[in-house]
Amino acid sequence: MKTLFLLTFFLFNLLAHDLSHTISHAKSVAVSFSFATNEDFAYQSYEIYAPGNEQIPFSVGRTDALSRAVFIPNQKGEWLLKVFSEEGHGKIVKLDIDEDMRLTTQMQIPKWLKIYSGLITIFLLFALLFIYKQSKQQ
Amino acid sequence: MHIPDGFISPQTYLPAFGLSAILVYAAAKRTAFEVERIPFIAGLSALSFILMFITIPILGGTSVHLIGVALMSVLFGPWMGFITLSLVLTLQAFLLGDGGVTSLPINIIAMAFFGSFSAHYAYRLLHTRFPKSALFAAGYASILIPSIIIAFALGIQPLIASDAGKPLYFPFGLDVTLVAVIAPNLLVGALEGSLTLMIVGFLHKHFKGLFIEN
Repeated sequence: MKTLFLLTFFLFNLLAHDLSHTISHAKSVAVSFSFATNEDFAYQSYEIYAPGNEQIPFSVGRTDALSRAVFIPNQKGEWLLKVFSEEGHGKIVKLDIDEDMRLTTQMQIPKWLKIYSGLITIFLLFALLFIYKQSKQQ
Repeated sequence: MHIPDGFISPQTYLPAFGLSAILVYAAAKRTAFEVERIPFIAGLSALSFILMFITIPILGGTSVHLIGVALMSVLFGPWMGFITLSLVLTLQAFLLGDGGVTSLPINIIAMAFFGSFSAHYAYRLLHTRFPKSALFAAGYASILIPSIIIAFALGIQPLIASDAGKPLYFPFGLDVTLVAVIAPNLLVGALEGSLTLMIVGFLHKHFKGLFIEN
């Protein structure tokens, strides 16, 4: 009986060191980063924080070769993704996950629209200044 | 070179807000927007805005960009360079989300103030004996000096804002940032210097009389 107990004990002890794995097709969220091309924020550090826990990261890692950070959310709420490179580039992205673990639609402004709106604002401000200065001169 | 939101601690950005407000006030007192120069100033501000959107990918998974502040500084003086780039950076932060709102004062102090004044003094130092080299040096200094300020501002964050050894904001120290931020900008400085040389040369040739003589 004693031998059987010891064998069972050591058997479970051995199993504890057997790293098992499962493969799933759970819904993941992939966030891609880019400056100009899809590969230019590759292998940079990221941290993901689950809703209500901004102290301990849910996941840490590096973006993949295509500048993506990927994770599988396990609760609904606002997730926080922080990416940063050593030379000070980076971003904090808020991701709203619903009860089906799907990402709710988030509006993103295209880069060309940002450039146009910025240029229009600059020229509008200087046009107003020009009109003001000209009216003062006359 | 823009520092995004969440990288800078309040211990850094709150005093920086105060300092940048004082500098903007001083600049507003020292700059005169003359009517005939306003279209050029608007055009160069727009150019600066576009230059900061054009990213140049470099090795190591990052990218760099030009600023264009040396053009304004050399042509219209350092305070004009400072105030116009401050406007551009503010627009980028508030309207477009490029560069953070909390890090805006650091970006203004580094890129607009140190960028504009380093360009001005580099140009003044050399322009009587080496006019072309002076323009190149102005552009180069307007990138290099701000990159040192940015590297320093980022690198001190782990020292001044950590919780049980874990950095709360930007996680890399000075040993990393001084190399990672400054090294790529040694190349960008050469591009900015060449651009300054070309554009100022063109404008001086075709629109002489519109610009101040430093």
